[in-house]
Amino acid sequence: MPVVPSWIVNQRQIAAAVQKAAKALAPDVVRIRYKMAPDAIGEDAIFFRVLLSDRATREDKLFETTQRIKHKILDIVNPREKYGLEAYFTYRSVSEQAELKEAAWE
Amino acid sequence: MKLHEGLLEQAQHLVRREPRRPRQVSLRRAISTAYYALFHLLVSEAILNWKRAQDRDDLARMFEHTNMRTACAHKRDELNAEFKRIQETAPPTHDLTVKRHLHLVAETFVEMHQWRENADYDYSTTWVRSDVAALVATVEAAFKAWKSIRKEDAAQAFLFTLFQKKRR
Repeated sequence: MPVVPSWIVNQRQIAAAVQKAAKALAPDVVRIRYKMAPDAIGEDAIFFRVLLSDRATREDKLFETTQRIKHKILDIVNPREKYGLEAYFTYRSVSEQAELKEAAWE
Repeated sequence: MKLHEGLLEQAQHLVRREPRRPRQVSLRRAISTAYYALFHLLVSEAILNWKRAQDRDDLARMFEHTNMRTACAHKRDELNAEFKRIQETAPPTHDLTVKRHLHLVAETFVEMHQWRENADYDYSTTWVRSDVAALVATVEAAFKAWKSIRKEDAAQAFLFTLFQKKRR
């Protein structure tokens, strides 16, 4: 009998957890979008798109800021342990998105 | 200058190459180059342990990207489980500090493995400077972390796992 991955069954919980993480990380994090897809080695993964305030993308603090944000999201959503999902993060600033206007980041 | 140091320097240059409107080609090559910087750092450190210096270059060619990525993911998860068992208020020990640095190295490799594949082959992604700068900064941090722990037993044992292949 085929087993349905838990992340398919628990989409609402994942969405709620992501929203909770975004709230906890405001105002540095403006919003978080995500998609599930296989990663480069074929493992189920969640790809987070994290929109940051321009202030949060200051280059001298970028490493510390993105690490803090990543680990907070991982703590709250817990994709690996709860749903067997590898997790990846991409970031962009509000200004960068204003120029690109990509729908996936809206 | 060693290959891995040169690659990291090149990645840092590429992410800043066009100050106003970074080109996709520069950002993509920055990601790929940063990944290879970390890859070659770890491989070059691992082969130092082979006694016969004349064989080290050939040994370096035997490391496989996917095997290394899998080993790094395993180490990352193992350390995550250990960190969860340790109380947040517990005073930092030397052992814990070493493990936190090792965690950063392993976690960064897994992430960069993914983003290098994406940067080199995925036409659909539009990269932005802040994202790529964050990735290059993370590899820089991983380099520093490795430098501080490279002689520790935990780090040396980790290097050995990078060579291992999953057996059925």
